[in-house]
Formats: sequence, structure tokens, C-alpha cells
Amino acid sequence: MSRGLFAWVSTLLQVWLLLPLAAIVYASVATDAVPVFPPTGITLHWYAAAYDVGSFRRGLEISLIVACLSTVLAMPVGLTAALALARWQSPWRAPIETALMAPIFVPGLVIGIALMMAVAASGLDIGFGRLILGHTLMIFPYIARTTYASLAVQDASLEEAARTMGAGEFRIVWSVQLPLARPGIVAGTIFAFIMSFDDVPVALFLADARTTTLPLAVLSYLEYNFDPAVAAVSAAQVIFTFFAAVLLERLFGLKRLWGAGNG
Amino acid sequence: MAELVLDCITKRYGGTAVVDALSLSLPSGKLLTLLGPSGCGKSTTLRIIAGLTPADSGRVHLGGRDVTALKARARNVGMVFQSLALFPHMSAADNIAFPLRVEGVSGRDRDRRVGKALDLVRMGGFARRYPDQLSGGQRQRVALARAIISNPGVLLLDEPFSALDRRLRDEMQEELRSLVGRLGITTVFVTHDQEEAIRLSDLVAVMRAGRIEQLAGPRVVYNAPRTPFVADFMGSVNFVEAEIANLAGDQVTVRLGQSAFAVPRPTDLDGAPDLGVLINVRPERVTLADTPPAAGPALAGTVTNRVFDGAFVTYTVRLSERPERSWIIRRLSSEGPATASDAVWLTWPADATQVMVSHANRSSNSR
Repeated sequence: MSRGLFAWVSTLLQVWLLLPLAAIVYASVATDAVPVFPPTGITLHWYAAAYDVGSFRRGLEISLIVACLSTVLAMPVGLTAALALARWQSPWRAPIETALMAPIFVPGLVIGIALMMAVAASGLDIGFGRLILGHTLMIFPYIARTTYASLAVQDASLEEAARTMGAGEFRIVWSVQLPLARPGIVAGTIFAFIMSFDDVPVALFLADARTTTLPLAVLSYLEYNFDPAVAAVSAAQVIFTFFAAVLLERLFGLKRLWGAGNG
Repeated sequence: MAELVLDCITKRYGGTAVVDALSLSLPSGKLLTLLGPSGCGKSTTLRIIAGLTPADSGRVHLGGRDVTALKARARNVGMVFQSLALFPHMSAADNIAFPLRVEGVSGRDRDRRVGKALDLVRMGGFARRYPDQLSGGQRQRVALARAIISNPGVLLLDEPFSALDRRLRDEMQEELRSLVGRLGITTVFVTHDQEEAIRLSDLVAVMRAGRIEQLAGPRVVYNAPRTPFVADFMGSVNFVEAEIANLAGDQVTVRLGQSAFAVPRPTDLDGAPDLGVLINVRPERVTLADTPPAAGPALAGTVTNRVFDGAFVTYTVRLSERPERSWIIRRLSSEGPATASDAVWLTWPADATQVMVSHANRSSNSR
């Protein structure tokens, strides 16, 4: 395939991928209850309507709580995992690194079912806690990977220099390695937060009537209603995610989320 | 008193000895250069002194204490890395304060010492700058200040100036020299640059394949290299085979073609007369003449190349007796043309002759 053709095809594909998002944003600001073209008018009415839906408000609250708490929990787990990978010379390092990719290539449904069965088998009734724990487990690898990628490219002589200056391991980690890995840590944390906030498949299996997250509320609303309020909620999420992605790219470069520790 | 003693240090990587039964002793306050080509084990030796690489066998003594078992953090060494290893997220002052923070030196005392160290390396106005806001030479100074702030027993430097351009390098060498002299810190400096070694050092250890070939003052290493390798590495490339005619007391008589001459006997030279030796003469000690000298060392040759490079003219002369060997002769260009024709006689003061045993395993890539 020639270079010019390739550019055209890839542009078309990207437009194709982004079209539904554009359609959602379009539907959310058009006056009409059923999308028509051209729109009869432009309005923010549907955003207000969405805000009036009680399950959306409650869902947003729950999603934010779950995303915040599971990110806070995932952070120490992810950081320690990354530090272990970066500092531990062992043949187990490569397999563990691969295992940390699991949430990226194991379907969310599988993770959801597995977590549900594990929680059921444990016999623990921890209500809200199980969704938070499930999300923690699902998102900590993102923090671990970006942090590890940042640690892996650090000049080893920094660590050695600190050592000759009398620094112990804890001080080396705390005063040298982690501060320098900050872009990776922040990027991973933002990404982890989004993964939790947007999640459907895992929440589907771990949530109950009291813990219906926003994406689940949207799903159940759609079963009985079809109006642009849903589009408004989705558009809001798209816009939120878009700005988070811009922030991520600024801080870290999205590519390094997926690359091996060579970013 | 010896501040640093290495006793039979050996380090192997996969069967190859990178450092091979190396011993040395460095008096307090002296600056020693480990000089050698890449892969000769000089950096590994430095890392073993710092405690960053464990030796397979042998002992390291610092300040009269056996520190072999101590980790790097407990050895009280100051080290400047090739990459400098400044912490990019800390200002110059914070970099220099790091060892003091680790020690637990508190607020005002720490600020005072950091300020003093900054002044010592003439960086007083740059305390708040971050490493990426500093020039190459300024970064060197910060790294140096950081390495000496906690009064280390030895200061170790691993080719710190190799990335600098020539003028800056000369300047930093001068500054290091005077700083170390003023503070009286025992220093080990690693480099592959013989000029740098000569300018900086009280002692030069020329290393090859994990061993020290010669350990002496810079003048001695330069003017009286003990092995063909050292001679060659110090830029003294003129070798020719000769014979020992007579060994008497502290004199040795060398026979070279038609000429015979006496030179001071090197301490490591013994054995029978008629022993085959290699002699070496520095390029700047040789003179060119149209006729053979009345006495003293002489070799006939043919000029094959002349290069004028400003202050000097460099001649390449192929020896008539041994056409496989060519000598390099450097003369001041202000002397004018040395000879009328290309057929010349080479001669030099007898005491400029270095006599070396020409062991097969010592014969180097002499030109």
C-alpha cells in the first residue's frame, strides 16, 4: 500500500471511530427528542434533564466515591509493585511484568465474573467494599505499569550516587526514585481513575441495588427510556475523558501506557 | 600514612579477570590516576573502592580501616560519576545538601556548609538553579561540591571531564587540582586520557588487562616508561631491538647496530649480556642529521613523511636496518628544515634511552 493511500485509510478509520462520539455530542445539544438533521435548535436542556434523573445523580455520586477510593487503594499497591519490578533482579520479573498486563488483555467480563465468584466463595458480605476492592484490583496495574516505565528509564548512577552519599534504600526510593517517577505516577493514577469511573463489565457483577454506578444507571435507564438525556450524560463523560486524556498525553505520553518498560 | 590500600583485589566477570590481583597504596592527600584504555579495569577498580561493586577477593583499606565488608553507604567516600548523576529534581543547593540531610545535619548548620561548598567551587550565585539550567562546567562543579561536602576519606572520580570540550576540560582539571590540593583530600581519578593523567596526578597507575603495568610519578611514567605498553600509551612510539653488551653496577651498555652507549640501569633489568632488549626514545628527544654522530646512539633512516602542525614538524622516518619499524620525530618548526635530503641519521642523548626487556607477551603494537 502506498504511503498516500495508507494516510487516507487511516484518516477514514479514525473518523469512523470518532463519528459515534460526535453523534452523541450532537444529540445531546439538539432540541429534538429524536435526533433529526438539521436540528430544530440548539439547547442545553437535556443536560438539565439528565441532572433531574435521580438515578444518574446517585450513580455519579457512587461512581466518584468508588473511583476515588479504589484509586487511593490502588496507588500504594501499584507503586510497591513497580518498585519491586524495578529494583528486583530476578528471573520472575518478566512473568510478573506480563501478569500486570492482564487487565489490558483479559476481557472485563471475565474479570467481573472471576471477582464475583471469589467474593461469593469468601462468604464475606462487605457490600460497597466489594466493588471498591474489585476496582482496586482491576486498576492498580495501570499505576504499576506507568510507574515502572518511569523507574526503568532512570539513570542507575543516580541510585549509586545516593548510595555513596550514605543514603539507605528507603531514602533512595523516597527522595530520588519516586520523585523522578512522578509523571508516570500521576499519569497512571489519572488513567486508573478513568478506568474505574467508566467501568461497566466489572461493576455489572459486583454492584448491587445500593451501589449502582453511573454507567450502570445509564444502562438501566436505557431499558425503558430513549431520550437525549442519556446522550447528555454520555457526552459529559466523553468530554471529561477527553480532557483527562489530554492531561495524560501532556504529562506522560499515552503511548508509554502500552509499551513495555522501555517508554 | 597510606589513606587507601588495595590488597590483591581480583574481580572476574564470567571467567575473565577484569581486575587481576591488583595491589596499590596511596599516601594521604595524594592524587592517583588510574590510566588505561577502555576495558583495562580502571572503572571497576574505582567501583570496588567505592563499594558499589564487590571484589571476588582481596581487601580494601580506607584510612587504616578494613572496609572490605562495608557497603558503599558506610564507606564515607565522595564520588563523581561519568554522568555526574546530579539529581535533576533538586536545585544545585539541594543536590549539595543531600549528603548532609542523610547525615542528619540540621537547618542552619547545613545551609552554612552548603554555602561554603558552593563558594569553594565558585558557584555562589547558582544555588537555586536546577541541573538542566546549568552549563556543563557548572554541573561539574556542583557534582564536585556534592562529593566533598561531607569530608570523605577519599574522593573518587570516574572520567568526569570526558564529555567536556577541550578548553573547559583544561579549566576543570586546573580547578580540581587546586581544590584537592587546598583540601588535602586523597583522590583517585580514572581516565583514558594520558595528558589529563599527567597534568593532574601525583601518581599515575597505567593499567592493562586488570593489572598495573607501572605505578610512578607522572614525569617518570612519561619519560621512563617501564614496558612497551606504557611507552606506547604515553605516546612514545619509537621502538627498536637492541642488545645488552654489558651489565655493570648501575650502568648498562647497549649495543645498537654500529653504536654502543651506556645508560643508567633500570631496577628491573637483570640477566646475561647479549640479552635481547627493546629500546624506546620519546619523539621530542631525537634529532635529525645528515651525517652520523661521532659518538652515542645512532640509527640510519629515510624520511617518508613530514607534517607541519604549527609549533612542531613531525617527521616519519623508516629505519634502514629494520624497515618494518618507523620512528616519529617531533622537532620545533622554528628550527627550520632538519636535513637536506631524505636519507638521515637519527641521534639522541644516551640518557634519553629507555631499555625494556622484550618479552614476547610484552611486545606491543609498536610502529
